[in-house]
Amino acid sequence: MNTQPSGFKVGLVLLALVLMHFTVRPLLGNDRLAPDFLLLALMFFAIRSRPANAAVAGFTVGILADALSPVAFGAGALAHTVVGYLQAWGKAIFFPDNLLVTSGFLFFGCWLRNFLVLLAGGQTRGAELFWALTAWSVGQAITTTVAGLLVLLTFRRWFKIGIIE
Amino acid sequence: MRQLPEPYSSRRDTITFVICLIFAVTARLTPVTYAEAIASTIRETVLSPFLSLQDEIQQLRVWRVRFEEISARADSVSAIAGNVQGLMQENARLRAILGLRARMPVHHIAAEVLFQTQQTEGTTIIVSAGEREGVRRWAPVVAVGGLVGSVQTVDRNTSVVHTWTHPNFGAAVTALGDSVVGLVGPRFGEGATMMLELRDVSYEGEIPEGTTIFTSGLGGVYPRGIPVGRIRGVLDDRVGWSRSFLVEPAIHPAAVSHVLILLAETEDLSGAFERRQ
Repeated sequence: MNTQPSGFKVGLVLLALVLMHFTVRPLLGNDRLAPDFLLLALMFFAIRSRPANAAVAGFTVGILADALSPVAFGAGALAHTVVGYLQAWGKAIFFPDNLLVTSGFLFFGCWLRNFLVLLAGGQTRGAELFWALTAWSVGQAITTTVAGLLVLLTFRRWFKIGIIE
Repeated sequence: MRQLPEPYSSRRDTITFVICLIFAVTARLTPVTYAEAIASTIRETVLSPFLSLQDEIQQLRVWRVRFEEISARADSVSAIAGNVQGLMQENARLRAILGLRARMPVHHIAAEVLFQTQQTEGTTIIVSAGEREGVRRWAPVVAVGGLVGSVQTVDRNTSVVHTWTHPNFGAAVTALGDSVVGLVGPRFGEGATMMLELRDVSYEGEIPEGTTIFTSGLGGVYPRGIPVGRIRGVLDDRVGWSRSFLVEPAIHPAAVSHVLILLAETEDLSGAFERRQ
């Protein structure tokens, strides 16, 4: 993470997101639709980091996620590495300080993570894969984006996010 | 737009990314036994406090349900039942699992199903009991209604369970007394989501729709008498001298919040499950 004055505060928010992943998320109902706070923390970190750091963070988060679902060990690491890298790299092209663009980042990042996990996992095929990509993954991307927006709006000053008029 | 350091994306970034990708692909290609060992180590070290925290949260959830139940009784349940439908369902599940525990004739332990993280893990669940509670590999896992699967990996405080949706799942089953025997496993292919397939049934074996199939006790993993599912029809793919049936599972892994892990070997669980056909 960079060394801006708000860096420490943002770090606290990211830590809170990690804790929420293990405490709040199990209470939010369907696992496949509940917002992924761990991925959210990764994406917030990646948007503020260099691609190398984001890739390493993505790999770390992915391996942790894989440990919780060892049926496709490595799939999460692969997916999170790619998402982390692309998020960090994408900010050079787009305007990450804008709330709407950031929403797009979060939605696409979550959906892409799920797509890559399913693809690399190889456990889901046919109609099940179709529904996973079009229904469950989109649903989780929406809830994750909404959760991300709530975090950004709450801590807007720390994240230095602007809103389009 | 924020000022970015220049050059923003350097060769170092690309090389680091590629190295991470290589590590990830290597992890994906790692043989299952090693992958499970690595995952188990991570769960027991880095993730241990988080999983403990999650377990505490689940306990709080159960306590909350019990508290609500007592409060509801005190305040006349009927007046508020409509507002606590979710809690009532949770209560019903807990009462059902308690009832099953009372009927279970073999040493067992109750465990909570911890949350799922990624889209692929419909085939496995992690439960809040492990080596410390005496859980062993291949221990059968059941819930109210029937068979869930078997323990695949045992950590100190948690265990990974392969449910019947896992590609490697298989169980010897019987139906209509012992007049029909066969093997049941997850059904794959188009439109086969979350269904089981009963295979290797004698061509002369007729099983009416709605018939419940039970584990037969053969094979050494699952004791006899655990409901697996109900026959939903004959499949077209008759091969040779055997035929196959479509089976609706007795248990849907995503709907299970509490399970029982059988710790001692037993031959027969007939009578432990209700509504035996």
